[in-house]
Amino acid sequence: MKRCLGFYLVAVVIFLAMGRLCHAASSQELIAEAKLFDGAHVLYGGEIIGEALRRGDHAWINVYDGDNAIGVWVPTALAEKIEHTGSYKCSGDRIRVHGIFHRACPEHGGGLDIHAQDLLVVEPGQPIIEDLSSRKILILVALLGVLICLLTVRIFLKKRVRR
Amino acid sequence: MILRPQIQDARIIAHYLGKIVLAYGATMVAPILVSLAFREFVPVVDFAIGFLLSLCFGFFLLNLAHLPEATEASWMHGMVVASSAWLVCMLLGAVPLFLSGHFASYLDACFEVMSGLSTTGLVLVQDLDHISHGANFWRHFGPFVGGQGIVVVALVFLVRSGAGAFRLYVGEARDEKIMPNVIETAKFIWKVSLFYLVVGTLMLAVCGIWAVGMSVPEAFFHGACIFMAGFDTAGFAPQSQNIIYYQSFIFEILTMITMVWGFFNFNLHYFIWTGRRAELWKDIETRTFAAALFLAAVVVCVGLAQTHTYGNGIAMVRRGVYHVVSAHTTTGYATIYSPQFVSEWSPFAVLGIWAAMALGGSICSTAGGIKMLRVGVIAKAFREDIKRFLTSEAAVVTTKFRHLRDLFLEDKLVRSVCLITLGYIMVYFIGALIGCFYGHPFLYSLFESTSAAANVGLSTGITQTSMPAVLKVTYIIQMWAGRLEFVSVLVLGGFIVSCIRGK
Repeated sequence: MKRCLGFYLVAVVIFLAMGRLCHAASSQELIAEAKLFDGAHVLYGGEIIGEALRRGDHAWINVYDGDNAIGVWVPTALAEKIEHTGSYKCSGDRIRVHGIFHRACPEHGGGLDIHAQDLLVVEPGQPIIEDLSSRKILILVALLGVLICLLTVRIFLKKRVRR
Repeated sequence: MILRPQIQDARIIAHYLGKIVLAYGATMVAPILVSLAFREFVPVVDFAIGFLLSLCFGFFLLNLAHLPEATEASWMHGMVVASSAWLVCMLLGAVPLFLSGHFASYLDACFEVMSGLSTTGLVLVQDLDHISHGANFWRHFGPFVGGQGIVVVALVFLVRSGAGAFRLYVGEARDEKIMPNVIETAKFIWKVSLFYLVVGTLMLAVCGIWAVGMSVPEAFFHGACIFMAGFDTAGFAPQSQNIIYYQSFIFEILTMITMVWGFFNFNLHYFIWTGRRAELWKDIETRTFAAALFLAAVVVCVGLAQTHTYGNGIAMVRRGVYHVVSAHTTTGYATIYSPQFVSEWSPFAVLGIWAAMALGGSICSTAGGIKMLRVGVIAKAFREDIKRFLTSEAAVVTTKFRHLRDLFLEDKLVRSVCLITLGYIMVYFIGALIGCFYGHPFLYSLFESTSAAANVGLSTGITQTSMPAVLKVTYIIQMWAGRLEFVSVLVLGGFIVSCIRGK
């Protein structure tokens, strides 16, 4: 436990130090001012959404910071730190990535991406529990009642026509 | 003198509208099944509410009309039913999406549904990456239903064959029958689409597993969604990054094939099915598409090369051609972020994409825009006029072209083609002016407006939740009118005017 805490502390210190050396940027800044950040070391953070898409010794993870999601190319060793990815049933791990930003990555066909050099899980993801509102059930029952009434009227009208 | 419609007219309209609403409501069973498959229970309730609401409204209209089944619809009824059905379905289809909590307002949910039904693909959904599978499936199922046609769904299951059925079919901007019987035509469209859906889903799912690195259930889910939105030229994707999410060249190639496949006229699909594959290349639409696609690709690549947007030629062609195909087939899939059109692409390249969007896809397909047949006919008419000046006055100049069969270029045809083309151009510019009014630059306003009216879905970033409600309503009208090619929308307008001012 102590060892683990020590490791996290060291990791946080390294990341704080990196923050001073490289640009901490949001997705909006990276997309809108891609030319400015091209080739620079950046610090980018957010929630991992979708799945970690494994490609040999690397994987693609998509990190959403509240405005946009950006693809991050991470070595498999770093990708293994990820436990939860964001979906309907789960919030993804919140991570902070240090890497090189590419406006038009030559390795990946001109796409905008970040090649991660380090990754830190800031906050692990959690399952999201569905919350069913009782008002919705009430509406459902009411609509069912209305439908039965309408069907009864329809049957009655059809019978009257036949007569 | 304008005649006020009679009660009988309203009853006929209510009768057919009721049937279409019932058919549309029945399609909500699909997202319920998807939600159950993924063990998501709140979306089941949301879609059950939408389903019951649609049935209630459908039966209410049928009871109100209380007409015998054999009652035929006139041209006016067909047009009014087709155009109003799209609005009613938008309002009903938006209910489960709004209940999902992923839309800032009911208007936003309506925008998303109309965008789907009209196979546009502009999005206002929030936090898409956390939406349920059921709601996400519904977003993609909308283009599949709307692309083939909401009326076509009703024709298959609920409407008896006859002249009335044909008038409804035409009201939905499908003036070409594939089979002699319109119900058989509707059945063929659905049979072909479902077959392609199975094949396309399988193809994309296999690619998703092997090339993209997705899990099996997600690969099949994404495969089905991407195929429905790609073949129906809508451009929706299950994740907020659109096609960027997959980060795969093979996946991009497969989506390009899907988009082009969806571009073709259903009549040409029929020829392919019946072994007459040569017709595909002989047709004026295919030839015009090939020429226009090539020209647009050249313009876009020159524009991108001018500003050195991409470091190497391969990346430039990959990004450039992908967006030209996406724009020309009016799909709207993107492998760049919307603001990059503004911040990185040169205005010349954006103009190339705009031209491809404006020209659009094929007649009797799921694509929007001016359409290749009209562009081809206008080009032929120009050529004929020039030829007329160059030959002796006594000479009779005629022009023949192939569209499903050999046709002669007639003035009447050129006139109707020019009128609809003019209609599209006017709608593109009206939307652009409204965009300008809200402070957006003209080129990007025109881009967004054309994207909505031609049912494309590419965006320069104007379309977002925070845009003014007037702009949202403008784009909804553009998507609706563009999909129905104006005529039935104008007839609906005329019908409303005659209800108010008629005697």
